Parts: sequence; C-alpha cells; structure tokens
Amino acid sequence: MKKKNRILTNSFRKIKKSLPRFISLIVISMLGVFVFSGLLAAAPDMMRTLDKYLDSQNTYDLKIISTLGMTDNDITALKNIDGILDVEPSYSKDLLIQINDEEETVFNISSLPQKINTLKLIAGRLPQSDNEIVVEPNFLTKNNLSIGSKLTLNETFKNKEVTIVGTITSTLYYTNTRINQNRGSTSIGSGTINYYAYVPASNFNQDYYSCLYITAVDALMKETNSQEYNDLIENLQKQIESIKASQEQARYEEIYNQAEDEITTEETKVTNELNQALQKINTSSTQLKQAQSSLKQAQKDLNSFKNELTQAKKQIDEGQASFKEALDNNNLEENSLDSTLDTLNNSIFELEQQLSTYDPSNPQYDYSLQQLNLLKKYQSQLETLIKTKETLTTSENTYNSNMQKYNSALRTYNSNLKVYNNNLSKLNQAKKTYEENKTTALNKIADAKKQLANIQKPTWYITDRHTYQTYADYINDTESITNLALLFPIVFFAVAVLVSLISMNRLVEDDRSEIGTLKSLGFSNHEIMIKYFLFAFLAIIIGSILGSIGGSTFIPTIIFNIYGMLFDLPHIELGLNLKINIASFLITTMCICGTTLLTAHLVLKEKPSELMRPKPPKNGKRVFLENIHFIWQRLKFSNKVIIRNIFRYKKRVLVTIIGIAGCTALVLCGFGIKDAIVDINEMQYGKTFKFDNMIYLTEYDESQLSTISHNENITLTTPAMLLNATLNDTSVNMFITDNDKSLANVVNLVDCQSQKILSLPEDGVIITDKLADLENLAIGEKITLTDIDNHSYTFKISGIVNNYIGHYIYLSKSLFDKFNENYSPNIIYTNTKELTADERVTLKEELLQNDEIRSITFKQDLMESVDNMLKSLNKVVVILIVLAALLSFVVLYNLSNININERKREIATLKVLGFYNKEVDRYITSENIILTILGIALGLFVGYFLTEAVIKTVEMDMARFIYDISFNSYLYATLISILFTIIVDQVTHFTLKKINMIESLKSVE
Amino acid sequence: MSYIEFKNISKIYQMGEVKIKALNKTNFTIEKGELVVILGPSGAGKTTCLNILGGMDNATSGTAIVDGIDITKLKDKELITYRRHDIGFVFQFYNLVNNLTALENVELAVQLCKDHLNPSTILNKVGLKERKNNFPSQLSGGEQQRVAIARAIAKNPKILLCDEPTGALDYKTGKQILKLLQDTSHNENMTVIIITHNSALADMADKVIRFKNGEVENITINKHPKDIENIEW
Repeated sequence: MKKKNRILTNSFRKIKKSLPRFISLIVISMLGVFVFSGLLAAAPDMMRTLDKYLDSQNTYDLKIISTLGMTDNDITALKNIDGILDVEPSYSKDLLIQINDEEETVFNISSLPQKINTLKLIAGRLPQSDNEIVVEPNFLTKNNLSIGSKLTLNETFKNKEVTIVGTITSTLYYTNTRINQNRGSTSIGSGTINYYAYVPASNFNQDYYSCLYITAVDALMKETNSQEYNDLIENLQKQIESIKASQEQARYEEIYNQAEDEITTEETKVTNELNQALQKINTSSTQLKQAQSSLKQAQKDLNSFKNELTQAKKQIDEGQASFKEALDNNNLEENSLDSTLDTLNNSIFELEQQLSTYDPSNPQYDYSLQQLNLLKKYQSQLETLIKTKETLTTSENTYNSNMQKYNSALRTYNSNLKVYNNNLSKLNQAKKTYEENKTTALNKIADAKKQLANIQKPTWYITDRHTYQTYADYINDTESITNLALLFPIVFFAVAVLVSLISMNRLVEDDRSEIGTLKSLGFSNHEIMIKYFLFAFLAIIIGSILGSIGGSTFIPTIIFNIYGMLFDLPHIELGLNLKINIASFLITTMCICGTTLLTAHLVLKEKPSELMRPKPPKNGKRVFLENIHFIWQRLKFSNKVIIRNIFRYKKRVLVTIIGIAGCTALVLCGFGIKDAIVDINEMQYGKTFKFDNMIYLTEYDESQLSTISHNENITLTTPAMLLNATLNDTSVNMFITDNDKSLANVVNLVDCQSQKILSLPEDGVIITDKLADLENLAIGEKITLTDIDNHSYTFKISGIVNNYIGHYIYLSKSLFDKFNENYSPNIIYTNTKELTADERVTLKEELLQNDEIRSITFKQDLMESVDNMLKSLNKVVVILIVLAALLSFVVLYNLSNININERKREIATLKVLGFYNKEVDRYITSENIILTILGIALGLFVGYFLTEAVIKTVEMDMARFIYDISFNSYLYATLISILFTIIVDQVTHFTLKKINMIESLKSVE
Repeated sequence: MSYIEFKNISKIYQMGEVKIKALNKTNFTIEKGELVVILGPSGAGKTTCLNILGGMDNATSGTAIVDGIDITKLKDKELITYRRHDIGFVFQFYNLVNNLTALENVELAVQLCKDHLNPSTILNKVGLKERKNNFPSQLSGGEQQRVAIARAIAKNPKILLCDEPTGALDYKTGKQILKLLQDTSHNENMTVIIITHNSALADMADKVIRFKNGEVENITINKHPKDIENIEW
C-alpha cells in the first residue's frame, strides 16, 4: 500500500482553513508581479510593435547620403558587400507647395520605392504615370482635399502638374502629427517638413540619386534596436565604411573628370571661336590696308587730275583773256563774230567781184585790192578769232567734262573713304570685342579650372535608423518606462516582503503546538517546513500567473496608448515575455518564500517541549512616554492603552505604516505626475509667452506690418526672426529681435534662479533652462550653434530663463549682425483682442489673403494639442490609484486581521467586560488611525521623492515638467488613503463583531 | 420574588443538522448576597447557564430574571449594558489585558461604569498593594486571578460570575482565591456564582446547584456553609 503523505494533506487543509490569508498572499504576490512584469513588458512589447511595423514594409537598415549624390556605380559597389541584402536608390526633394491658394506647405517628395520602405496603400492607388502623386492621409483631411485634387510641383520635376491618386503611409515616418505636422527639418520654408508624398522616379529631373537605402541580410529576423540587430548593423556599417573612401574618390573623380572634360571642350570651343574671330579681323585688316593704299592712290590721282584741271582752267582763262583782248582790240562782240565774218565774206566777195571787174591797173583796183587785202587780212584775223573761240569752247567743254569727271571721282573717293573709315572703326570695335571676349573666356576657363580644383571630395553619411529622431525618441521613451519598472515595483515588493513576513509569522506561530507535536513524532524540520513553503509557494504561483497575465496585458496597452500621443504606430503587439515573467516570479518567490522559510526556521529552532507549551504572551512594557509624568498622567486611559499597544507590536505597526505610506506615496505620485504636466500649458503660453498668435512670413516688409497692425482685432505686433539651429544634436529655436522692448512683448524672460525678469544683453544670449540642463550649461560658458545652412554661431551665455516647451535662445539683432547674417524678420508675434474660436478662424482667413503670410498659429491651437496629451495622463493617475487601493487593502486588511486574531482573547474580554461594539472598534481602530496618520505623513514624504524620481524618468527632452506638487495633490493623496483606511476599518468592524466571546475565553490553545 | 430566577431556560445549539440541547428547561432561584456553587461534570450545561446569566449568550427559550429584568428579552446592545453594569466576570485563564498593569486592568473595567469602586483600594483588598504596577506577565497565576477578581469587583456589579476560577491554579493558591470570593460575598453582600467540577467546594456555598446532562439535578441549601479554610480536597 502506498503511504499517504499526511504532511501534504495537512498543508492543503491549512490552506483551506486559512483561505483569507492565502488569498491575501495571492493578491500581494499578484500585485508585485502585475506591476513589475507589466512595466517591464511594456518596453519589449513596444519595441516588438515597432519592429513588426518596420519589418512589415521592409524598412531600411542603413541609409547613405552623399554631399555629391549617389550613383549606380555606388550601388554596384555596395551590392558586392556580403552582408547587404538589397540596395535601393531613391530620389528625394523638399519643396514648397501652395495649397488652396493659401498657406505654403513644405513637402518632401520621394520616388516610389520598389522593395525597401514600401508604402502601405490607404486609399486610391499608387501613381502609374508621371502626372500622378500619392500623399499621406493627413494631408487630405487637414486641407480638405480629396483624391483627384491637383498639386503644382516645381521645375525639379519633369511634370509639374500632378494629380493625387491615393493616400499611403510610409514606415519612414511615424511621428504623431496630431500635435505638430512635423515630418523632419529642411532648409526651405519654415524649416519644417509638413508632409511627405511619392511620385514615380521618372518624374524626377535629377541625374544622381538623393540617397540609397540598404537592407541587411538577416536583419528582418532580429528585433530592431536589439543588441544583435545593432551589432549586425554596426558591423555592416563598418564594411560599408571600408568602401566609403574609394567610392567617394570615384564619385569625386567622376565629377572632376566630367567637369574637366566640360572645361576642355569649352576651352577648345572658345579658342576656336576666338581664332576665327581673329582671322576675320586680320582679313578685314588687310582688306582695309589695301583699301587704304588704293584710297591714297585715288587721292593722288585726284590731286594731279585737279592740278591738270587747274592748269587747263588757267590756260582756258588765259585764252579767254587774250581772246577777249583780241575782241576788244577789234571792237568785236563775241556773239557777232560769225555775222561779222559773214558780212566780211560778203564784202570780200563783192570786192573781188568788183575787182575782177576792175582791171589791175585801175586805181580803183589797187585801192580795191588794197581794200581787199585789208579785208582779207581782217577776214583771216576774224577767222583766227573764230577758230580761237572754237578752240576755247572746246577746251572749256573738255575742262567742264573733266571737272565733272573729277567731281564724280572725288565723290567716289569720299564715299570710299567713308566706307574705309567705317570699316576701320568696325575693325577696331571687333578688335576690342575680341580682346574683351578673350579676357572673359580666359577668365571663365581660369575660374572653371579654379573651381575644378575647389571641388570638395564628397562625404558619405552612412546612417542607421537612430538618425530618425522619432525612432531615437521612441527608444528613449521605452527605456524610461523600463526605468520606471525598476522604481515602482520596489514599493510593491517591499510591502510584499513585509506583509508576508507578518502573515507567515502568524501562520507559523499559530501552529506552534502542532509543530511541536510533529517534531516530537520525529518529523524533520524540512518535512515540517514543506507545509509553510507550499502555502507560500502555491499562493505565489497563482498570484504570479494572475499578475503576469494581467500585468503584461493591461500595463503595456495603457502605456502604449499614452505614447500613442507621440507616435503613430499600429496596435501594440502583446507578447509572451517569458524572461520577465520568470524574473518577476523569482523575485516574488524570493521575497515571500524567503521570509516564510526564515520565519518557519526561527520557530523550528525551538525544542518540541517549548513548542507544545503555549507561547508566553508578549510582555507588557512601559514606554518611554510614561517617564514623562506630566504628559502621561494627562492622557486618557484609552489613549495610554493605544500608545502602549503601538509600542508593543512594533513589527506590525511598522508594516502598517509602510503599507499606508506606500499607498499614499503611489497616489501622490499619480497626482504629482499630473501636476507636473497639467500646468505646462499655462506656464508656457500664459506666463512665459505673451503673444496670442504667430504669423509666419515668406517675406517681410513694413507695409505688411502695418496691414497686420491695422487689423481691428490685433492690438500689438512684434516682428522677429526665428531660426532653427542645433546645439549638439538638440534642436533649438534662435529668437532674434531688434530691441529689448519688442522681446518683452513676446516673452517674459524670468531668471530660473532669482525669478526676476531679465533683459536682453548686448554681448550674450539668454537660453532656456531645460537646454541648460540637457547640455550642462552655465552662465558665462560659450555655446556653438549650427543653423540649417551650416552657419555656425558662438555665443556667450548670459542668462538662463524659465521655459517649459521646446528650447529657445534669445539674442539681440546687434549680436546677430556680428555674424554677417542678414537680419530679416520671418515671423510676427501679435496680441489680439479676446476672440472666440470662430473669430479666430475668421481672422486667420482674413490675414491669409496676404501673400507674404505663410501660416498663422494661435496659441490656443498649441494649447489644445498639449491638452489632448494631458487627458491621457489621467489614465496614469487612475492606474496608480487603483494599484494603491489594492495595495492598501491587502496590507491593512491583512494586518488588522492578524492584529485581531492575535488579540482575540483581549477583545473577547473587553466584550465580556461590557464594551459596546463601538468602543471595541475604537479600541482597535484608533490604533489604526494613528498608524494611518503616521503612514500618510511618511507616505507624503516618500511620495515627494518618488514623484520627483518618476517625473525625472518620464520627462521628455523637449519639455520641462513642473516639479512642484500642488497642495491639492497632497490633500487628495491624504484623503484617498484615509478613505481606504476607513473602508478597511469597516471590514474590521464586522470581523470584530463576529468574535465569539465564549469560545475565545474558554482556554488558551 | 428572588433576586435571580431561571424559569424553563433551554439552550439548543444547532451544529449543522444536529441539535444539541445544552440546557433543558432549567429552573432555579438565587437570592441576593448568596454564594452559589454550580456543580456538574463537563458538558452538564453549567457554563451555558453561566453564559446566559452573564449576558454572553441568548437562551433558546424560557425567561431569566435578574433583579426584576428579564435578560432573555434584552437586545444585543442592552445585553452589553447589562454586562457592563451588572456583571463581573472571573475566568479560568484570568483574561487580563497583557499590555496593561494590574492597576490599569482594573481601571479598564472601571472606566465603563459610573458607580464603581476605587481600583487601588480594591487591589489593596485583594492583597496586591505592592504589585499594582506590575504587568500580568510579571505576576503569578494566583496574583493574576486576584487582579481579575479585583477587576470584576471594581465595577461594583450585581452578580460576580466565576467560571472555574481555580482551574488553572495550584491547590494552595486556589484556596486563597476561593477565600477571597467567599469573603467578598459575605463582607460585601455580593451575589457570587462559582462554576466548578470540584464537588468539595459544595460545602463553602450558601446554595449548591448540581447540573447533569443539561438539567438541574438538585439544589441544596447550606444553612451553615463551611469556611473555605476548613475544606480539604
């Protein structure tokens, strides 16, 4: 027959009999495991969620961008690396797009991915041609657009007019945009990318790739940011680093050679052109020279011709003069010469006629002959004259015709001369132009050559997922939750240890005589201990299972939902985090079983004979207060009893106080976390910032300022310049203003130490406190900022001021001017009259009519988004209160139960003596009340530090939380703890009422 | 009419499906100032009788009149008041509050009623003048029982009920305690009821009530009760 183990039977009976105690042990271990495993599971669950999300669209592991772009050559080189699974090029461009003819929005447009970073189609379809685009769903909803709407891109795209054909989400972006439509920073527009969109690669007008996305072999199998994943990626990154230099060199040479070729071609072309030009000039120069010499000849000819003419003229004139003289001498008229000759000829004819009639001897004859001779002589003279006249006329005619010839020659000559001169000046002009062209061309080539020398070698930037700020933020946040997981459960485990210590101690003590009997029967200590171990262990197993299931379901979900305010990710992937569950089970087991075994061991050490005798009741002792007679004597009798009891059951009292303190601290922590954030809005937008809205400008001019300031709703306008810059990777807003007064209109610079208002110094900058904290900066130190255009600025810190959201650096225009930058306001801060939401919309629409206004943000919009985030924090407060309530119930109920059990006889005696129920209650509960008060006091004290620690852990980098816990929170924590105590006291009341006087008085067990 | 009258008192305990008759129509009377010893073996019903008389338990049927009041008709709260003012209890295991000194234990009872005796005087009377400020654990069993008696007497009750007051004490000390009770009854004219299974004590009582199987077997009246010092057992 198989022997039955009656120790086990006894153990299970004990559990059945002490069910409430068993259950309370279950609850306490459940609580510990719930909180511990829940908080610890949150981080891995969140990382798993992110990993699955990223893997679902085959998100890149490494990304390479280069200062000179990437090429196919790079892809080929990368593909030769073993660890690389895939390389995919991408085009990407940031640009401003005007929407609805209103605000300008910054877009990042990329080429449609093939294998890496694939898109998830939400609605519509993917682009199929160059005139199509897909956008993120937000864009449509926020701008009241729909699929089918059109957008206009710029000339970086082949096809500028595109139609929205669908909406998609990309795993490259998972920042939640409810608060701020921010898709990263850029150098254009407001400095912030608002939306992302995708077009086919063929629409890009770009001859190099913007970046390469790389996936690593085996990376999908590893969880993102896990040690293995990071090692794998780091390793791969190193491998890529090894080809980096040669690829950079290759790209450099490619660009250099291309440029050099271009220069050479250009140079040859220019030289040819110049030579041709020179040749032309030379030809025309020779031609001109010929023309010149022929002109000279012509001139010479003309001159001699002229001389001849002059000579001829002179001869003619002389001939004329002598002819005239001869005429004058003969009294002749030039015109009557012919008639005179005719007359003369007639006379001669008549005379000859007469003469022939005459005989020579006739005197008449002689006379006539003489007459005739005379006439004849005259006739010859006359004929000579006529001849002379004729000659003269002929030479005059000749002269005249020559003269005409001469004049025409002269005209020809002059016109030739003019042409020549013209050509000459043309030639000179051509020569000048040639020289100029030559200089320009040569300079150009020299410049190009110089530029060629100046071509910077490209740099590859190989980045992993951490470069995406949201990824890094997400990891940071999950880490801070893990830190919380190491903070909160301490409270629960400490309480679990204490409660189990008391509870198990009581359990073992109750069994004294039984233990003695068993020992005397010859059972070994180990065998006896099994009972208590089983009791505790079974409770822990049940509690751990319940706690693990509850904890790893509820807590990660709630935390994930809270972080959902910051991250746009699908539902959380709850998983079995076996390690965590086992760890929390082990810790709980260690805490509770450890204390159980310790207590059991202490009792088991005693001899059986001692054990079988009842344990002498605890001795009454005087307390130190009794020595102070004047106080002690004045105390009421019942108070004396209470005080003495408190000192008598030190252990129980301590645990009760710690339990209540833990409860109070948790509640205070819940409210404290709320306090830390709830006032941020008011502190930032009420106390720190004084403006009512911000108007972002595309361009600034005075007239615009007056348009805005003349708007009836606007009471004050302050232009300023706001620049995005980074300080050691921390994004900072540089606020530049032209005078101190305008700064005072926008922001209260309150010194974080003295709380006095600071004014802007001339030689230094004022920074905000969180920035100082993050970067460990102090007044007097120097900081160096880099803006989006890579300009760097070094400033001396001359003040640190309160600020709650974001980081700011305030500086004066005069200081800014020292960096040779152009101060031009890009933002106008305005104060408005009290406006309703509708009036704000109207004002916004009114102002946006103005082309120079890019966008308008009211502080109410900003506050609203922060408020949304705060709402989720109420959940945290509720969780903490529920946990605190559970904790306090377990502790108080357990302890007062033990208290009552231990003092059953005392209470029964009191009842027999005639104490009313109320009086019995008061006798027991007034102790609890004092303990509650002490517990609450301790709890508020501890809670203060717990809250501070928790806030520090969960505080975001971009915001400063408020560490002042409000009076109300202290009040609520106190009231809630008191409420819990009262409820437990009510339960105690019934337990007390149930105590049977008769049974408990009969005998000592 | 007697000071205490038990008329047809029955007490039936319902233990699951079994009914146990602890008392079956008991009748007896006790006069004021009497020292009564209730005798009987274990389970005879004497303690049940005492519990009903002491207002710690209700009778199933019958009437119990104490000083003209039917205590079976009293409600819970009235029963407490009855215990508070009219009854003094002495237990087998003393049931002192360990955390209080001898004097304080008496004071604890005294604070309940107006018409009480001086705790210190009472302790002197029970012979604990020197031990007043000691805690129970510092006292012997007999001394503790004296404190318990002092605590009961100090309330100036109508009836002093003692349940096996010497059960946990040695012979000599037990005798001293019984002496104290006898003296109290005679000197203070206190009605004292002692429960015991020691039949030798019958001789010290004014009246002896014998219980057997939940019923009163017989009642004897000693015209001349013996002084406890003269009783040996």
